[in-house]
Amino acid sequence: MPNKEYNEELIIAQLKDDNLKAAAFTVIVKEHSESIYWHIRRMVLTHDDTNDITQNTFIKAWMNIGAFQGNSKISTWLYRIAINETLTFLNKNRNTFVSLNTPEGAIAEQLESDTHFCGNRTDAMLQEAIARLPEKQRLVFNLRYYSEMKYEEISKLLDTSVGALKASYHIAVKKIEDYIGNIDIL
Amino acid sequence: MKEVKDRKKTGFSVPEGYFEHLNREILDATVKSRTGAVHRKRHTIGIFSRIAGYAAAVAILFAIAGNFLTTDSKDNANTENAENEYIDNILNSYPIDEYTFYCYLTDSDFE
Repeated sequence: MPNKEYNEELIIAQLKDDNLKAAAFTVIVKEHSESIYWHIRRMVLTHDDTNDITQNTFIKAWMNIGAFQGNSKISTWLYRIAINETLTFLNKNRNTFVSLNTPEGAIAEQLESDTHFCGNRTDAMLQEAIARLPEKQRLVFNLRYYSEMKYEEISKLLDTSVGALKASYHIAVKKIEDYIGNIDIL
Repeated sequence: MKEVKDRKKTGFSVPEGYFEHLNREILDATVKSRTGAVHRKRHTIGIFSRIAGYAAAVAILFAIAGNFLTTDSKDNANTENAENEYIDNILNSYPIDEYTFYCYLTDSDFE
């Protein structure tokens, strides 16, 4: 859960001090690990893969901590690393992930048999519909709908114009609605 | 074990206490690590073991090829027995396990 006493400016200042950066990074991990985990999970679906990618994200952030200038929010910086790590993973596993040939309902069935999935059939079908979107649309949809990011924030993150993001989001919503047959959950 | 659900209604969940565990693992691999190196659990073969394995496998193939070239082709039955014996001797004399040899033949590894 977000910590009300979390002070971004103070943390950024501490990251520049060799004596304080470890403590500052510890605060960052505790503040952001959960939201980064969920964002990755909604992209890769499985808990074990998400666990690996989340850890890699923070390890890369720590290894490149000196390059963080504080010009963007810490969360934006972490999301950017997480997105790169996630897309790299998805590209490497393209053959084992969703393809055009994946039968309808197969992803939902797989999710329902996963011990770390507590949703019902509608939840599973919604996740299947999202998983079938092109990667960029999935990213935009997840960041906007689930992470509740503002378009301006997503624009900085993905280096895409707000207009293009809005179009991408609406196309994604339409595709999802079409796939799950106008279920009233969006 | 009780599962903790995503704050948004996705159906995804994690084991109870997972995020405390995750944070500990991240901190162990970053601020608490002297080198900052990645401590992954995946099983990999060391480079020297791998080179030694490949070298042994290549040596075996050369030995087999050499054996074919020096054997009289008229005596096929005897040759086959001799070859098998020769290969067995070679396999027994090199410090190579079946898995390493399999890796060489299939060009695969644990990852």
